[in-house]
Formats: sequence, structure tokens, C-alpha cells
Amino acid sequence: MPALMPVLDERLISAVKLSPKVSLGDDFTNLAEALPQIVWVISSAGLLEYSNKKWSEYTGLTTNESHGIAWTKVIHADDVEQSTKRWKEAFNKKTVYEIQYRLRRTDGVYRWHLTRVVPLKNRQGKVIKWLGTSTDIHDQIIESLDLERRKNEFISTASHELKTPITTIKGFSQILSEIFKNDKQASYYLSKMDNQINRITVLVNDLLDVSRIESGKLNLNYETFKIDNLVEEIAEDMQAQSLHHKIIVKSKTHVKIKADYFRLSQVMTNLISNAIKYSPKADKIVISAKELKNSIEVSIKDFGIGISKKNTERVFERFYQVENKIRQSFSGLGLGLHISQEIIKRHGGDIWVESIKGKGSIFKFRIPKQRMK
Amino acid sequence: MMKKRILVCDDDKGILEVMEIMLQTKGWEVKALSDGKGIIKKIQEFKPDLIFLDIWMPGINGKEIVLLLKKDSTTKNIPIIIVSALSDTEAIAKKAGANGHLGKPFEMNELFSIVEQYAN
Repeated sequence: MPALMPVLDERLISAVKLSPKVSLGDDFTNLAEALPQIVWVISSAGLLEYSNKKWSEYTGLTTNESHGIAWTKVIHADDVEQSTKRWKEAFNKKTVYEIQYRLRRTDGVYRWHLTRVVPLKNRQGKVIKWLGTSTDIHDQIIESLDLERRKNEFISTASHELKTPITTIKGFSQILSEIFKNDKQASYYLSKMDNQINRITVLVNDLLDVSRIESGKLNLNYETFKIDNLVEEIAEDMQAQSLHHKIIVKSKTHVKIKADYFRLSQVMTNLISNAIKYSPKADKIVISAKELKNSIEVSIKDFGIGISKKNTERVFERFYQVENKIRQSFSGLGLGLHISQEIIKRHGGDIWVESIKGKGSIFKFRIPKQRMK
Repeated sequence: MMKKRILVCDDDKGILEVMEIMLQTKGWEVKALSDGKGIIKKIQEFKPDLIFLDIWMPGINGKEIVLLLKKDSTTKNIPIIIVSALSDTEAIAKKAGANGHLGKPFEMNELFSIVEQYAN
């Protein structure tokens, strides 16, 4: 049942009389009593008029005991606010109400239910009654949570296991590079091989991070450092990997912050490599940092393909990639921005993008200078 | 000058071989162990200047090894570097009481600079 009828007040509750005046028809009540789900009917004023046997069997409450708002006590305390808010919206808009919440069984155990309430309207569009059902979906919910947990565990183990052979391959390729350091051609092939190994490493790390995010295990290790040092270090590293783009660090803050150096490096690396990836015809990337009252803001600007307005929010979604049509030319798992957003959020900050399609994008993030309590 | 003595402990034989070859190219003396069995005794005998230790070892956990080594007066001053494929190797190493960390996969130069920094 929807939580707390919006039009109820104490006088109304005490004035309400159940069933006698309600004519639901034999067919309806016979059907409702036969169903394995909880079935009930609410008046146009938002008051409970009927509940089937299943309700009484499940909750241990008789129809009279469930009367008024008495039945709301069987909704889990954590679910009351959300279900009330949603029911008020549906009631005012006269639309279908659908929600999942936990209902207390007669033995005190809470089980997840899917509740649906449909307005029954007359020809003039006026609501005469609300017909509702609550279906026990507890086992499915538990199973899907368990499946999610096992999926995350699998990704975590698989990524860890993948790193072992990657380490060995990378190691032997570096040993070969040392042996063939005077052979130009062999060195060139081996450097190509090393680049690809690094690419696999990034993909595996991203999968590992996503599984950590999903299972709430992405922890931050705070330390104090100058944001300028981090920006410069990453800009230098990325410059070494990019032949076509000049990476320009435009402004500095001279500010020390308390944050996770490794994770912020990951965000910076991700934003700069995206800037390079999505601006194949441009020749520069501009990075700037500025100090605000309690936070610092870093921006990475490219002059590439840009993102349409409707997609600027979606780019941070897991597995999302800009314009799937051209997915072929922009490889990757679509995890980088999702991970970056999560890292910034964990710092108590914010990340967003300003973009004009065809002109380029500016990715910006802000984080507090001090650790958030 | 005395040769640096380095002990590497990892249950993956491929990684063990890679690290052994890399470290030997520098002329350092390397002992490779593929499990934690009798590790304390072997360390006491070999007397390494530095230990590279995988955090996940069959039989004995890397953290337990660090704890045992740091308790023993004959081994407590040997620097220990935790090697791991987990993304938060640094935090794991700190928590375990190790001296440093090396994430898998690693660059050869990273391995060498750790040896130069810690093995004296």
C-alpha cells in the first residue's frame, strides 16, 4: 500500500467506516481473495476501503487493524519517506504509482514488495478508486544483489589474475629491449609491444576500479601536496606519450591541498588522454588550475570533436562512449570518466564538462583544499 | 664493493623468473622463493639487503611474513617491498608495516631504483 495517504487527517480517519458502503462486486472480491498477492482498494479521498485475505495473512493485521494509517507501521522505516513522496505525486497527478519497499511479515521479518496502484477513472476522468497490489519480490531482489556482489568479486579476481601474465610479458619484453638495445628495428617493435601492454594494463586497472566502486571499496589515501606539482608531473608524462599535441600548462595556484595524489593523477591522466583521443586534428591541450575560496579548480581544454548538449551529462555514465557510431575510431571501455567522477565525488568535489560540438570540450573538476569530514 | 643480495618471493614462477633475470643483469645476487615455507629461516641464512615480497602467497600471507620479520631482531632491519597486482598496493604496504611497494606490472627502471634506494 502507498504510505500515508496525503488527504488523511485524524478526523477523517476516525470518521471512515470500512467495507459496508463499498461495492466492489463478487467477481472482484472472489478474484482478489484467490490471488497470491496482496490486493487492496483505496477511495478517491485516499482512504483504505478494502484489503484481501493475503494482507491479513502476511501482516497479521485484520482489515480493521489496518484501517486509516495504522497499516503504515508495517512499512520499513527507511522506506517510508520515499514511498510517501512518490505516492503524493501519483495521487495529485492521478497517475500509476509503482514502488519497491519492505513490508513487515507477521513474524517480524521484512520482505521486499513491488507495489503498484492504478487509478480507476470515470468517463469524466475523475478518479473513483485506486486499485492496488503488492507482490513479494524479496527472493528476486536478494538474488540480484547476490549476483551483483558475485559479479564484482569476479571482475576483481579476474583483473588481478590478468595482471600476473601481463607482468611477466611486460618483464620479458623489457629484458628483450635491454638485449636488443643496439638493434633499431627490434627496439622499435619492442616499444610498440610495450605500448600495447600498457594499454591492456589500463583496461584491466579500470575494470578493477569499477568493481571497487560498485562494492564501495574505493578508498582514498590522503596526503598533503602542491596541486601544481601533480599537474606538471602528469602533463610531462602525457607529453612524452603524445607526438601531435602540445600540452600547455597555463596557470598555477601555488596551493597545497590534502587529497589522494595517486587517484587525482589517475583523473588528470584520464582527462588529458581523452582530450588527446577526441581531438585528432588539433595540436594542443590547455591545462589550467585556479584557487577558489575553499577549493581548487582544474580544467583541461581540447579543440576536438566536442560533445552535444544532451550527452554532456551522460559521458560520466559507466560504459558510456561519445557517439557510438564512431566507436570504431575511439576505442576503450567507456569507464575512465565514470571512475574519474567517482574519485572526485569521494573527495567531496564535483566534475563536469562544458562543450560545443565540433569546437572542443573543457572538462573541469573542483575539490576542497582540505579533507572533507 | 659487496654485491647486493636480494630475495624475491612470489608464488608465480613467471614473475619470479622475470625479476631474477632483471636483477641479475645488474650483477646483484638473487635468491628466488616461490612459497613462504620456511621463509624466515631462509632469510636468516641468505641475509638479504632487500626483500621483494608478494602479498598473496599460498600457505602464508605476505602481511604475516612482514610481521614475523619485523619482530625478529636478526631480520627487523631488512627493508621489505610489497609487490602486488592490487591497485592500492601502497596502502597495503603501509598497513602491513613494509618499507615500500611495487605495483604489478612494473617498469624495469622502477625495480632498479627501488633497489638503489633501499638496499644499502
